Amino acid sequence: MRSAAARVRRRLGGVPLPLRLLLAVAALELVCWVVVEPPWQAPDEPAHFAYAQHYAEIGDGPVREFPKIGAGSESTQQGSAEVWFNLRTTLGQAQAKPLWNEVDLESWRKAEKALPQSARADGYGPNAIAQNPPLYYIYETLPYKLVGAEHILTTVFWMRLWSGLLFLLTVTFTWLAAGELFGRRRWLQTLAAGSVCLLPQVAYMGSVINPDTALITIWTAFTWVALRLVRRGPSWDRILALALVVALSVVTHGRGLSLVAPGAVALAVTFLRRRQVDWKIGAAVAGAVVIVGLALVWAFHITTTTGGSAYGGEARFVAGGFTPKGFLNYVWQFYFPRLPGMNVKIGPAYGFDQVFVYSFFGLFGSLEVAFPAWVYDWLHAAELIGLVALLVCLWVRRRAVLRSWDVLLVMLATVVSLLFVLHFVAYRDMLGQPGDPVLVGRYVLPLISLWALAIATIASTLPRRFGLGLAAVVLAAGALLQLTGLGLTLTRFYA
Amino acid sequence: MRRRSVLIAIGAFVALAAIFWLPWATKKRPVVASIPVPPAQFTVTPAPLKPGQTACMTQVTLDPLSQVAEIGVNTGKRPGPPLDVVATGTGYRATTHVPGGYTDTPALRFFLTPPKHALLGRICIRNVGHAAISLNGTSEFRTTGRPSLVIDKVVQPFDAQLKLYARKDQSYLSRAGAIVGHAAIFTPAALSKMVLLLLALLALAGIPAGVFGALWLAARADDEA
Repeated sequence: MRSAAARVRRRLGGVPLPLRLLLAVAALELVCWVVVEPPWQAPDEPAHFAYAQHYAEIGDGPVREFPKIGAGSESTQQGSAEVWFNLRTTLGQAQAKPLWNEVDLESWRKAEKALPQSARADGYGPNAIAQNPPLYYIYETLPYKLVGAEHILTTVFWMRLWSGLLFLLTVTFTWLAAGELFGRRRWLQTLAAGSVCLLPQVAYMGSVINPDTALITIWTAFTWVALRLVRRGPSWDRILALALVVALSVVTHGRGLSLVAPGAVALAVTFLRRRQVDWKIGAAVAGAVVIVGLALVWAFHITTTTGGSAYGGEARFVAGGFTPKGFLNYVWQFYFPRLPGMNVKIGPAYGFDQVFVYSFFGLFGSLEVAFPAWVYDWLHAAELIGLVALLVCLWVRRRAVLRSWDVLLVMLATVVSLLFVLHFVAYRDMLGQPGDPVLVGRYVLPLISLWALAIATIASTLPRRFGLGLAAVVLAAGALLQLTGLGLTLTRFYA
Repeated sequence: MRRRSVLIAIGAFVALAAIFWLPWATKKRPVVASIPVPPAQFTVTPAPLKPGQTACMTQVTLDPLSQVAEIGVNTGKRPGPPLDVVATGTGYRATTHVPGGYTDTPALRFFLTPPKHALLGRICIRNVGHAAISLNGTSEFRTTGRPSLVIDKVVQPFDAQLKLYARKDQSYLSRAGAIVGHAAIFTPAALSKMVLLLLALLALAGIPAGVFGALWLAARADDEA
């Protein structure tokens, strides 16, 4: 026991100091976000909490349809707390504030104490996110059971912090991925991990109850394990690690299905590049296929029982009215202006700006807390300049890039796979409901490590002093945005 | 070199923070005491108040800052009747009179004498004129609040809009303690107002210091390697 503790201490002691500092910053951000955002105010957070609470109490998820049992989509305890503090009223409405007085709290404590035990377990549904596989909610069961549910506000607080540990892991995996790509160049690792750590939307999502956070962490871990596999060559542990990460993605969320394709690409290019196969590696590949296959079967089975179809219909591939031309039309106009001869875009005026700028960098609360518009204009410009700079850097270093074609291919496959699925689902759903664009920035946050590696790639191409200067500017901008987002959210709810 | 880059970034950070944050933090704004029921988001539900009728909102949080109340009224484009308002709670009673003559408005304001300490009370509005009006109400799931609306002792299936403000505008900076205190309601007891204030200060200094420190240490480690 003592030697194990000593081993852990030694391991922790080996964590580089810059990473320790970044993790301390991430932890500080996390606590601040949990404090400034009242309970159940994040996107779909009431439904995610309700799912987690139901799972913790009953050992099973809620359902999507009317179950003819229980109190509705939320437990009586959760619903009563929301009503008591006006937390339903504040959801998404900037002019409303929660009831924040000490007398509100004292009277709630009395009311909560009088609730029967069954008031915690009667949120059977219909729950709009019941189609999600239960992995994340099982994870959230741990703090729920540990803290107990006598005081639901305290329970939410600890569940959010527990979810936030995934944010710390995201920062760590980005650091490791940068180390894999750039070697032990600490300033580039710091820039990449720091960019993720300081992106307000990632920190914010890390502080709320939402499986998107888990998906971000899993995809970031994928970037690291895929880079290891492709760059170092096949080994049984690398292959199984890759399979495990892909399987976790599949059983976390419907959008996680799209990690199967880049996982397969990573495996394929590894064997194309290094044709070394022995029985151990062959067994590992077979094991990987089994792991991912089992995850798929389990996720499809379990979501069919809650939603009537796999992932509650998210994984449905045939849709009435779907045409490849219409889809391309929609995707083109999502990013670029309409060309002559194109049909008018389906859905609302919603595209790159809303997804890759506004809700990517920071929209808080239930999307009602935003930076001033000019901030997004600057971020948009910076993003486009960054994209051009990245292409120039790749061109300048084309020989090295061509030598690492496998790495580039895996990264591209990851980006294309997620974006294809997001656009496909958005287009398919808008055929039925054109008013809802379906896509928001947090859905693309699983690609955050690639975004951070792109920034570090630009910095690494510049002469070191300019690269360091760029790193300092990026981190300074991130710190400004982070603190501004915290201040805006604090005052939106509590001033 | 690394020192210069980091120092320039710190300087830029501090300058930009001062330029953007100080005016925002020191600007005077209305001080919300509580918003028991916000205005309807899409459709106003009229809560009719005939001459002689009394509408009461129960379970309203009243505190020393509840100095101005704001309701929405529809007078049918005629001069509104006078209203008598009574706010009550345990050991507290305050009355006020709203003179007639006002017109349709989503923000009819009147002064209240607030309680000395926070309490859960009720605010009753009696139509003492000769013309009927309706209070702006809401039956929307997303805007109905905790207080119940009772008109002449009959509980209504909708709520009436009510906001409570302080008389004087104040800046966020001057109210930092109170703002953080509101946040402390939803955190475990160990995270008291004082602890949260310290946390805010730590974040203001620690987040930039932490990342710049990390970059500086990383660059130094690379130089030494």
